[in-house]
Amino acid sequence: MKKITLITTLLLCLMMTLNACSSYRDDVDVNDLTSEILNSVSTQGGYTAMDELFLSLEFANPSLIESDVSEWMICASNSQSTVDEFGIFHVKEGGDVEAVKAEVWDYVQATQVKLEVFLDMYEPAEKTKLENAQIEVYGNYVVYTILTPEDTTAATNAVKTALGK
Amino acid sequence: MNKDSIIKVLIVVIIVLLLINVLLLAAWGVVALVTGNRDDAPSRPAQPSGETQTDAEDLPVIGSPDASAMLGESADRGQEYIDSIIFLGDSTTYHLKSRGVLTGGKDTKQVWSGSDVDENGKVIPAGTLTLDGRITSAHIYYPRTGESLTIAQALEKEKPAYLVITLGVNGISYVNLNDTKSVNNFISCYKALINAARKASPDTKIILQSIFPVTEAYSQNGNGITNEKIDAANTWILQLAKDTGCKYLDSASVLKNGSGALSDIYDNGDGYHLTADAYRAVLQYIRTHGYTD
Repeated sequence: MKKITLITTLLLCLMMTLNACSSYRDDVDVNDLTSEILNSVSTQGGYTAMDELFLSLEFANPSLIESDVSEWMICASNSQSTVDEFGIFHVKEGGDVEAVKAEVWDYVQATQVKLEVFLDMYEPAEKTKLENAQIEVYGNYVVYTILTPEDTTAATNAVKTALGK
Repeated sequence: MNKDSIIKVLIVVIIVLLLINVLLLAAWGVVALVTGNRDDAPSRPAQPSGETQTDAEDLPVIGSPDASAMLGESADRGQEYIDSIIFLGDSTTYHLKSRGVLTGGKDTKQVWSGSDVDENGKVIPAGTLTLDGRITSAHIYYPRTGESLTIAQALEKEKPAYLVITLGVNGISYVNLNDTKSVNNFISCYKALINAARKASPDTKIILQSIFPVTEAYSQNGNGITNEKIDAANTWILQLAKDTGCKYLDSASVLKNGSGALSDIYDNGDGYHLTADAYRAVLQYIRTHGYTD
């Protein structure tokens, strides 16, 4: 009986420890996370942070971002001939992570539709990046990428490292 | 080591693990408390210089433009007037440079359009600039220094006497004429750009140029850029000029045939871009429809 109790207790402790270790950090500043991504991807030409105008005009429901997100950052390539872009949204306590994810994904899909004609005319090779756009949730962070496959992998790894996984 | 000793060691390990868990949970709690305050004060990316907020009630009434901002015929202001203008826009502006029709020819410093980087990482000009939510953040090639700058940053450096903006032909491909939000987005982007430009260079006189027409065949090719949309957008731009204290140039009128489409003689061949002669006609229109307060 003693042995069973001991083993059970040990397993419980291990599970608790592992559980604590599997959570993503929730205290990483979005600016710092942005820097981590920028340090990991190819940044020829540089990136620029989008402003409030971008959010208010390009997102279908910007008020959701305003109400549920504590910090956000969307960076787009300075080069007009690429669609390279990523965004980070830190959902605040009590915010709806899934709703934010859905809203951001709506934006990405709307961008795909919006740029289709333009990219067909000028930069057909860039369409692949939009078609392979990704969105991931890391705890309370929602991150999307419209990048090359290499940069997407690099950005994902950078985020996972920065958030403690 | 006997059995009792092993059990004792295991108990100690369990206690230590439990303590670690308690400490971890406590640490998460402290972090949550500390970061909780920051969550209450959202941090947004820095705004570019220039006001970018546009209230819906500030938007012009669509469909009834006030033509008072339209520049009428004037005495010929001459080449000196043209030389004092910075032309900002998409590919339809960029080709003022590539066609060599301005003073300075293909090396002119008067044309501002998109920026790109070559394989060596050097900033180079590009003929792409789109009127959408990125416009106040978008980078252009600043020919004076070869830098990649936002439009506001370039204006702060250059402070030109006149700025002629020709934007929207790409942007209208996304616009649904029957969707008020879509139309208002177009106008809001343009207005945000004007506000940013004015804040960066308050003494620069801003002229909004009409979007140039496309050929009839191009208008019907189904890619979203139609003369119907261009004509509608030009009425919004005219009204916007009035509402923001800018002027409007109806230079599109010199490029149109009897059907209101781009005349074949000015078509570069793709139905969308202009010939050198077309630009000469536009420049002649500009200097004979000079800016007046």
